[in-house]
Amino acid sequence: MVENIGFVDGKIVERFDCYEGTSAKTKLSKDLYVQGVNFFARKPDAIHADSIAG
Amino acid sequence: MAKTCPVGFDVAKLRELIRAEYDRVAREPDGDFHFHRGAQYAASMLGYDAQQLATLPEESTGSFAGVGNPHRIGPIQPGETVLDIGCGAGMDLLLAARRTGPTGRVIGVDLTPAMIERAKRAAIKSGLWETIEIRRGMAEELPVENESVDVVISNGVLNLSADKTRSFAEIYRVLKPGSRLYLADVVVQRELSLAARSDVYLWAA
Repeated sequence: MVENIGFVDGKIVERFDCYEGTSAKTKLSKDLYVQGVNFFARKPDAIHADSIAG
Repeated sequence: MAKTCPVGFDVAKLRELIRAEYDRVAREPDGDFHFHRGAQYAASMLGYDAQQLATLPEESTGSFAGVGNPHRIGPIQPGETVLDIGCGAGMDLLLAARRTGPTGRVIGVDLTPAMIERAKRAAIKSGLWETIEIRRGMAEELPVENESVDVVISNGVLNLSADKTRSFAEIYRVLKPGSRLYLADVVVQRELSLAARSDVYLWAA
């Protein structure tokens, strides 16, 4: 999704078990493997965007 | 995340449920919630510096309900402009203001008036009010000018958006070319059922 919008270099850089010990863990079902993540992405610089556009 | 809600989903109700839930977090941070809150949670489970958090006003840390740590994703340089989407009571906002310094600018956007009031009190108490501006708004329609931001941060907010594609498009719009998104949020490893995606109460949970 973020790449379709135009972001580049998107990546998950860290994960957290932020719901451990909460009622959400049972409410959302452990099968969904819900977790928190740190995600990085970058908007291309103007020169890079122009070269993509040709 | 579910990118968009199903056809016929009551988006207005979802937004009201979200506003009401986080209004309660702002007014009763020690109340009964299904997610962790506060400075001890942030330090022990999300990698925040406990000593640093101890120097922030309790108005900002007590209601913290993030799911990750955008400050661990990359640098924020002095003088930069940072946007915190869904700033809540302001814990990440204040940490960003310390990193940008007096020559930088930090903008917080939040939907919940009670959270905005807590964040303002915390910013004044921390001596960072000159650097910070808080605006009422939402991720799908950011009250921020085009290409005006160096870093967008957000913590546990975009998963609540009923139109994530639009929210990410708004982030793209406000970022300067070459600038960064530091996003902390929740993901699932399995596809949600249509029944789950149609449940507005589960969405706001």
